[in-house]
Amino acid sequence: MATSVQVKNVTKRYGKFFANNNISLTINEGEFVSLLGPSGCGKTTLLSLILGIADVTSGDIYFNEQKIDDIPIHKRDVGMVFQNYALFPHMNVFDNIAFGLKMRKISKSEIKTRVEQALNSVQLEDLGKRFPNTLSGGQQQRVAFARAIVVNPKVLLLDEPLSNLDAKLREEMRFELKKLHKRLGITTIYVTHDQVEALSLSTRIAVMKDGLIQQYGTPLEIFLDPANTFVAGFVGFANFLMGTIIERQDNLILFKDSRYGYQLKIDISEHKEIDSFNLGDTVTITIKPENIQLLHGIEDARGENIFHCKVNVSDYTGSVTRYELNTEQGYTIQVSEIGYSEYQSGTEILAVFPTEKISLIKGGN
Amino acid sequence: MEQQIKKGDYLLLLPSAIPITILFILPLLYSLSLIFTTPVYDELGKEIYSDSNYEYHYKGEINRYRQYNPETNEYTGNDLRPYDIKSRSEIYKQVKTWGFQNIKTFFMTKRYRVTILNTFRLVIPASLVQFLLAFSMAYYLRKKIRGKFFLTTMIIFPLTLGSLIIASGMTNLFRTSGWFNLFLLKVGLIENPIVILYTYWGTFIAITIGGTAFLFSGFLAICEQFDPNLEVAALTLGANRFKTFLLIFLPLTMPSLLGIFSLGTVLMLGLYPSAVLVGDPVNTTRVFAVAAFEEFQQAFNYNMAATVSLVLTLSQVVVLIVLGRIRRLFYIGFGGTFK
Ligand SMILES: Nc1ncnc2c1ncn2[C@@H]1O[C@H](COP(=O)(O)OP(=O)(O)OP(=O)(O)O)[C@@H](O)[C@H]1O
Ligand SMILES: [Mg+2]
Repeated sequence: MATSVQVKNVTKRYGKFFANNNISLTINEGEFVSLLGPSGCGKTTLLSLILGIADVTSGDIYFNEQKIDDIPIHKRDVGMVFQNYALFPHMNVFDNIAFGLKMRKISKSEIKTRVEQALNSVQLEDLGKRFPNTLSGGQQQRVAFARAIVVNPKVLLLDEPLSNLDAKLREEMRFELKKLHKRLGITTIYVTHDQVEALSLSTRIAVMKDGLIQQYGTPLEIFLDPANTFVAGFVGFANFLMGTIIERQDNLILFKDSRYGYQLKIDISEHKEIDSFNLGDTVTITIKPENIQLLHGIEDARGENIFHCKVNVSDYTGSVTRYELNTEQGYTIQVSEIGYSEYQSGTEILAVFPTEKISLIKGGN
Repeated sequence: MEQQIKKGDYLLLLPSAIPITILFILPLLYSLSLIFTTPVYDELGKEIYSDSNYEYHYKGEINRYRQYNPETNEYTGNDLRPYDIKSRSEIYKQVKTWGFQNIKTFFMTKRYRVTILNTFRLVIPASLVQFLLAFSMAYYLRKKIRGKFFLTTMIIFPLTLGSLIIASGMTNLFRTSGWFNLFLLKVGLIENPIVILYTYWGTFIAITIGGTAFLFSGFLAICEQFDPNLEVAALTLGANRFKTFLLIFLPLTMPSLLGIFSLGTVLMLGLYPSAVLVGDPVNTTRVFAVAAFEEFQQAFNYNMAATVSLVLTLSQVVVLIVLGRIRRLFYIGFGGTFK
């Protein structure tokens, strides 16, 4: 029933500029794939190629192994929710949602039941008669969603649908979206530059940069095992150190940083490619700010991965307190502590990198 | 948030109110007074003037007045030459009656009455043709395409020329030995030259050239501003290009298009140079402005000239109302892109 999408070596060029550069993605039936990446990396471009509003420069796109290049947009059966919703301003909510059904020449009575169902599923039962300009942003977003799914599209494309909503509504809609996808099982491609959205919604995530796919994998893979420093940075890693593996015992690695000479122990038992790390390899390590432990008032701490630092800046942002610490050697460490804590700047403090929380990325930058 | 207008704010209008009064309202009142007055004639058909003591009967051919004494009921001073008349209104006031005489005359005299029919026979088909031409070109050129700047400039170019130059260009192109006829003769499509100049079609073509450029310049902006996502949304929902155009693009742009169209049509109702220079102003292209100008410059009948202008103005109002009604049938709101 559901449709799979294969993007094979797709390149899209505007003049000399590669908006998409040799992209390959396989999206299985019913998957929820997020395209994650910074502004201008080519996410919308890839969607518009799948949608059919732009033609690929080279490469092919398939739905269920069938090439779609020759299928015109209105026959591709791809649902789309736009960033600005693109509701038809001259039609009321009911007619907006019914539009796709009318184009499919479905009987009036069936249109009525299906539109009502769709309105139900986005909890807008009473708003059928209202016009889009009288709806709030969140309501418009739901109408746009209902309009796209009511025709049972083969593939659903969502281009940053939540980016115009406030933080609280965003979160709410994110859960709604998750539930709806679970219920409908439509193959979905979701564009965002918000890593939290991508991680919470997706079955798989494609991280993009400069028209290239940097990594394609499950949220866990990307979260725990970023393929390169860009991906790591994008999903919230920081505190990068480059160096070499100087010792290896089973799943324990001893890493020596090449700039400051720090030695760190790393537990790689969670790592996907345990066997690919060898003695002497050049690697980058990284750890998320919230995974670093801070110790204060301990005179002579002994143990692994301890840095003696001074607090440089502290910043309380409501749910976490962020610190920037400096070691004597000049290494800057980003730390987040949950809740409120007050270490004044200048305070001497110990930062501990737990062995199992450090991620290893092959190669340096 | 609505801002309250304070009393003192109306003072800000003064700088514009004064020139508007002088340039617009006073002349308007004057022409209204012209419309509803008619000169009084004596039994010989001469216009009567008065200096409030005596009546003077204007003898156009020798440029002087006979004096009339109402008490004795006699004409005296037949050869009296009170003044060489420089301007009639300087010393004497024309004796006038008030009433609807001019308007009656307009509708009862064929050569005035036909101006209504002639004007609308030209303007209605021409404006429809202009609408179709301008809209189809603007629709096609709304996206970024190769050569857009060149094409746009070419289409808008006639606006910079004005109707006089368009007319003279047409005179060269369409005359019996002009390129147009030579070409058709060469190709063998016609055996005798087609007469376009100095007919209805001469004027028709001339106003279409200028009018299309005018409409296009407005239409293009409207079509460019239309949010392409709305069209894509319709396409993804299964509407083909034609249905997308018909159900989404057209209804959403129509109100703005009609706004520009009303302006163009109203301006066109006052056409003059093209009617005179390349048309047939004594017959099929005797439009409002031709008649008004004739009364004003040739017959010196200012009352009638003002009356023709009044009918022109009323026609413009009627056109505005009709198009306004049509416009209200559509959704009037914002179909533009909002990001
Ligand atoms: N029609 C076009 N002509 C030329 N360049 C284009 C065109 N469309 C997009 N680009 C370029 O392609 C690149 C990718 O654009 P795209 O819209 O796919 O980015 P994006 O990842 O969706 O960014 P955002 O998160 O800001 O929406 C951008 O650098 C953009 O300038
Ligand atoms: Mg985008």
